[in-house]
Amino acid sequence: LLTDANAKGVNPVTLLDQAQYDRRRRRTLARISQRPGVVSEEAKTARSIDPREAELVARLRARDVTAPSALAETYLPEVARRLAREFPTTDEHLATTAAIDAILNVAERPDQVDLSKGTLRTYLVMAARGDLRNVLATATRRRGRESSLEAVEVLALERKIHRDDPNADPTAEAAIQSADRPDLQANVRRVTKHPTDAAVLKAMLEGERRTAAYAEILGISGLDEATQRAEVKKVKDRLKLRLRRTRAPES
Amino acid sequence: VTPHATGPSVFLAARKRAAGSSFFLAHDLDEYERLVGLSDSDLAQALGCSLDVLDLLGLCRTPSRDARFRADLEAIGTRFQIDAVRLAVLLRVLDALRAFEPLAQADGWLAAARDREDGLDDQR
Repeated sequence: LLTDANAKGVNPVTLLDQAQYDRRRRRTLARISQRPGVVSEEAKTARSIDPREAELVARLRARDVTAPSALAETYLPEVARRLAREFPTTDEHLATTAAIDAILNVAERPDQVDLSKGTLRTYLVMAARGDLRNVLATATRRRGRESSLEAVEVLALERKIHRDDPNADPTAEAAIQSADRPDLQANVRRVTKHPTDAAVLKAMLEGERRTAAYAEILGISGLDEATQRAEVKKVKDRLKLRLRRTRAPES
Repeated sequence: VTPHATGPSVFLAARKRAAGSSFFLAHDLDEYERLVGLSDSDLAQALGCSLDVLDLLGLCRTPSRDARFRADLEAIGTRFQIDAVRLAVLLRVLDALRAFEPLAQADGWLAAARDREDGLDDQR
């Protein structure tokens, strides 16, 4: 039966050809749509678009000079308030700027708005929220970089140590170069947990070579020179060793 | 213009932000203020509107400098109850100033060069 149906180009279930099937489907749908309480797909779409929003978007697209101002007047305060509510701990200025940018962006490029997919209000809020999140993420990354300045300095020192070391592993060197790796930075922070160690590392990084300077940091200036030299060497070697040991494994 | 719960500052911030794009009238108003040496209050007074209206005015698209110029100005004038002719004069003056600005700069360079030459002559 199936082979026969395929050969004749008819649907094996309904035993109708495509044209017959389409005609019957249209008639059936038309009958159903006339029943009380049934709303057609077209009607559903048309009803979900706010006519005021549609008019405003149409004005923007038609290059109506006052439309961008109307857009801002209608939505800017609301979008700004909503963002301020959603991000209560964020600087209000950032939230307002994100809301403003979303409005100005739509004013300049209204074609990006598709009202059949959602309301203009929702679009603006989502765009502003996305912008604000990006700004906050960038600020967080910047703060992270600033707070790990000391760790980065130590990384630089570690690089210097490895450059001076003829047996340094070149792949490890490559890993150290990526100062943004949080695991590596965490390891370096562990090395500099003690303030005296951090001060010694900093002095090493700055190229300090005088034993007296390190003795002062370590609080052993009162000891004789030979003991100072031995103590300073011990601390420096310990730190170098710890840096090597805490080096992050290759990823 | 309807007052808003968040106050006018959000529209002022929007106008200042919009001044960065030549799409908006704020860009023209801002440049006019700079070239002529006016404050926001001076400009509002020149256009015969309040500062709140000036903020919303700046958020308009800048009028086309073609056949639509008049219609665009009339639309703005009607919407914000301002004299469209004053805005038209302002924009035309601004366009003229923009056209002359490179010459003015060049003249400034020439003047600077002349001053330097004069100085050298004095030394000689």
